Amino acid sequence: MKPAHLKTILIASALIVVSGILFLNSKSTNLQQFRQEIQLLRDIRLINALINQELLTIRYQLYTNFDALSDHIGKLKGKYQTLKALTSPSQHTHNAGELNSLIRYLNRKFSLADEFKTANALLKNSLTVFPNLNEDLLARLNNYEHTDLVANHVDSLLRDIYLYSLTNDNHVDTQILQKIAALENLQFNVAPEIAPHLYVIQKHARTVINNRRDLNNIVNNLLGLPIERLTYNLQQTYASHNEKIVQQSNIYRIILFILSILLLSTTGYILFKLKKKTYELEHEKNRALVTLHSIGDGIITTDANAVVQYLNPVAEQLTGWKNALARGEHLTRIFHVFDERTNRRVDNIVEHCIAENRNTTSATQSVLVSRDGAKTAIEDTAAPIRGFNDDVIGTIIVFRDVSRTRELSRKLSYQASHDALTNVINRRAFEVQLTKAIKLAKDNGEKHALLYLDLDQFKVVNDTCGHDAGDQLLIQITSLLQSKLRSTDTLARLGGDEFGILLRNCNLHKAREFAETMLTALKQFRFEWQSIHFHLGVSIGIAMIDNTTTNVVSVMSAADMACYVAKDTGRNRVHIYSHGNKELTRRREEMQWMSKLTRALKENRFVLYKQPIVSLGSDIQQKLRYELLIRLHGTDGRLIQPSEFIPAAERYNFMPTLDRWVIRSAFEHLAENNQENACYSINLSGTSLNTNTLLKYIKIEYEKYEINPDNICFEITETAAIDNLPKVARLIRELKHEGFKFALDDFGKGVSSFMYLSSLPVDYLKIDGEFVKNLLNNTVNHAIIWSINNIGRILGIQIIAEYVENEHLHDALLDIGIDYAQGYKFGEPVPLHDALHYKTRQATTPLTIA
Amino acid sequence: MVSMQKLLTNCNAGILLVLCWLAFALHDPAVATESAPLSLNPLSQHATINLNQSREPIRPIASRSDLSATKVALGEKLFNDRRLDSNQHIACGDCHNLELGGTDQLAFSVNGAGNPTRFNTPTIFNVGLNTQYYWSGKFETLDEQLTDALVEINTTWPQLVRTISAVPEYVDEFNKIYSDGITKNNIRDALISFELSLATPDSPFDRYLKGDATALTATELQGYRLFKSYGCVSCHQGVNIGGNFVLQLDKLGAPFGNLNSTRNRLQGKLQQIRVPSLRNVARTPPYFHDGSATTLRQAVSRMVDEYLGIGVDEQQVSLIVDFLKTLTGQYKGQSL
Repeated sequence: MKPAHLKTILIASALIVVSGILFLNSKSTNLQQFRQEIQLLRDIRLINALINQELLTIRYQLYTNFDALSDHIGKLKGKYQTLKALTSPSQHTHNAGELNSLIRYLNRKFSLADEFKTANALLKNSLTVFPNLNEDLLARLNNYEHTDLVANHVDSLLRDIYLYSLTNDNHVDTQILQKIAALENLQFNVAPEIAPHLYVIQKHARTVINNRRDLNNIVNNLLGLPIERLTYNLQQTYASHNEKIVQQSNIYRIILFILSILLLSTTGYILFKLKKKTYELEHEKNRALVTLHSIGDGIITTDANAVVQYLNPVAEQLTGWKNALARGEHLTRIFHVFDERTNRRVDNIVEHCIAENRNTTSATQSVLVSRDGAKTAIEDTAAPIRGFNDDVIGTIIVFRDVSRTRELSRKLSYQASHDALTNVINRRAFEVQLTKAIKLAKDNGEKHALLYLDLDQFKVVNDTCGHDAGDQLLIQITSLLQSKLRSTDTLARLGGDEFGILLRNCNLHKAREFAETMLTALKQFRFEWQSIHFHLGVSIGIAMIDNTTTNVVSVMSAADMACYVAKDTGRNRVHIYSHGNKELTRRREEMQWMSKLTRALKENRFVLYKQPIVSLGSDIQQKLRYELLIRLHGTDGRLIQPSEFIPAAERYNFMPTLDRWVIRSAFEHLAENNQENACYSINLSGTSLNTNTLLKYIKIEYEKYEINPDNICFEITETAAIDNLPKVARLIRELKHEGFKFALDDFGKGVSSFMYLSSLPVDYLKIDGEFVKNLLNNTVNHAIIWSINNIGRILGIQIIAEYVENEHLHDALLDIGIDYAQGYKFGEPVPLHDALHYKTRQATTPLTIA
Repeated sequence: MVSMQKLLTNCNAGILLVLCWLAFALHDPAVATESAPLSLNPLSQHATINLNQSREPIRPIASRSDLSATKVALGEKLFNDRRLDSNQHIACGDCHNLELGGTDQLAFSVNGAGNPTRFNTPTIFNVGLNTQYYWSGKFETLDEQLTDALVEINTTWPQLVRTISAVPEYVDEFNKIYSDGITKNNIRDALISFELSLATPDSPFDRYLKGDATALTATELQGYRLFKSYGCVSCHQGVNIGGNFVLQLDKLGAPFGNLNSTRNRLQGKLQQIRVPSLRNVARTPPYFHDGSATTLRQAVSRMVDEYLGIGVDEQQVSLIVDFLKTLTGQYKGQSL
């Protein structure tokens, strides 16, 4: 049953029942009235009958009193008044005529009653006096002869008259008149003194008769009044009305009864349903409450005026308020939220929620302060609770403890901006600070100094004592540096052994002073590790930040370049950046190369070229030997020589990448083409050799491409080898074990020491081109070459001469007995994929060996 | 389900209640069907009232026992209180003097304003036994007559209420007897209670009627017989020997005595005349509406002459007068 229908039915039936009751009440009033009227009519009828009876009693008696009659008349007059009052037009329209008649007749009765009394008095009076008249007459008749006759006459007349008067007997009527007539006659026949008396009697008799007649008329009139009939009729009418009404009202009552039953049962049913519904709702509510209770987040519900209505256990715990206490309080009393950063009170989130009528989330990093002062970091959201008409009837605030999250994010943020080891800020954070400083410089004309510090000999500590030592060193240096700083200065670790210092509001002079202080301090600083002492130095580059500084990159690179120059020019010194410095220019160019190279690699613009290494001996060349050389296709299509980019690559540690590329490409080439009788020489740079991963890489690539190690020869410069002696030695040993060949490049150039040759089991020596070039006109060179060749021969190492450009050199070398030669004479470098291009000349003259 | 059971019980209770109410409400005492209309036979035996009295034309007085003594006392106080008059000249008791037979024994009285009354003041004694009041019989209740009498003391009901309310003793007394204090109804009630208490039972004639044969002498008895036979009793009848009958003067026929002159005399002032009570008549001269008969003898003579139209000799008049003297009753145990 739909609630709407039910409501309608209930209201309708309730109305019907109520109106029914009211209706019946009015009906019963009517009934009562009818009953009263019927009773009244009854009374009237009764009294009327009594009056009639009394009238007759009085009428037929000689001596009577009017007490009873007056009494009855009085009562009837009372009823008459009531009757008059009752005839209100509204109810008795159909009986109005009869009622009015009744009233009229009653009225008539009253006046007739008065007439009756008078007439009765007159008659009785006239009757009672009659005997006296007779006596009078009789007294005078004493001496009269006709006494008896007269006396008898009169006597008889008197008797008759009495009879006549006091009964209803009308027969005597004519008799009396006769007797009176006779008396009249007698009158004339008697003595003159008697005649008047007779006359009186006769007259009196007539009077009596008249009186009697009058009285009778009145009595007849009185009795003839149809009061009896009228009252009876009215009574009947009223009675039947009454019955009708009673019947009607009975029917109504039955209907009402049925309706009441219906109403009751409907009400009962509704109540029952309601009860059930209430029970279910209660159940649901409990479920909801339990759910709310169990939610791990804090929940506060309020009404539309932000008055708290409910706190779940988590909310209780976090706010420090019990639900029972908090109810009825304004939210702001319970929920104290502050901005973590400004420490100012946050606007009531509920106000926003209600005002904007949507879910609102707190924008600030909020902290909830509980009743006892405990602070919890929270995230809070408020959502409106809507009523039936979609209007906001309250809000629900959900908040959670995000202390851990925030802590984590803080840590993360910290870690992202700080160096883990030394706890100073890292490069990224430092650059942010620089950006700010630059802006300040631009806006306010402030001057700041950026110092770039590079620790000298850090690598030595690392290599000698291990990374733990290195770390310790860094930590100690950091604290040393920090101790020299002002509170407004910032120290950052920019790289492995590189630091940055931002000196705020500092001019060049002061900066330089400071840098010198740093130098001194570091010079004096002794690092001890496991009873080994180290002396340290630092290279410092200074770049000024002023209103001409464009951006962070420029100033950082400026400082960096200055540092590089300091390093390059002998270390342990300070260099100040200035525009137009050659070194710095070069450095800048080199820096620019880095991006180019990276791009080139990505875009695969590096290419391998090969230059043949020709055997000078008469031996028939078993293999075709080439040196692989790297070239770069510039974006403009120009072929860029390595001399242009190798220094930059070396400077910025790109060589390992390049070398690896070369290795891979070479191996790939070998794998893809049938190169059984080719042997390619790959240059390995010092920086590559310094990495720990080169060996592994070569091994991996070797396995990957499954090349024949016979086809590969690695070239290592002498200086590179010496710089990384242990590593290189190991590399050579292991790879040779695999079957690879090694050549020592630019031999004789650097600090050549034959001693090293023993620890470097190379297969070839490549004599530095400088020696070869001036071979012909420089006897020293010639001697050097000659001795190298000898040594090589003894050690079983083959010699290759570079930069052989012409025939003469060729002859000379041949003369000495050099095994191989490389140079423009024999071929310029050509792309790797070109067909074999090989110039040879068979030697015709035998070797003359001194 | 427990709730279901509870609901059913409630339903049942409710239905029961409704049934009870309806039972009461439906109860309609049946209107008794009426008997057939009464026949108009005058000699039918349909007497339902038994007055249980002899048909003597005169009945003895029974003193009332249903009056409240306190009300009567209060009424008496008011009756004799001159303060009720707006001029404070007279009280009711000045004209209706209980010492003078309930009248002032003057032809006309002087009212509070100092003007003569229209008619001779009738006696206040036995006034409760009359059915009509005033010489013309125009009042049918003592209430009506009392309201009219206020004119004689020149006051109105509201005025009277105020006057009486101003007297603290009356306030007290009224509050003792009546719950609503001094009101018109209560004043009326007190006064009328007093009036009704002014019955004078135990006159010699009453004693005779009650059965005491020695109450009347032979002459008095003779007088009574004459009173009856002359027809006086046809008007002066009932318990108050009159007072229950208004004579329609225009019905009085010409052949009857000198009624013309009576009528002429009366019709200036009266078209009908309430037959006065003859109780205590010996104590209430002068007689007739204008007090024109100063002695009983004169009154009787005139009545015989005008109303009976017969010659009645002196001796007979004396007898009647003697009889009339036996009509004097007792008030508070003392003969008037």
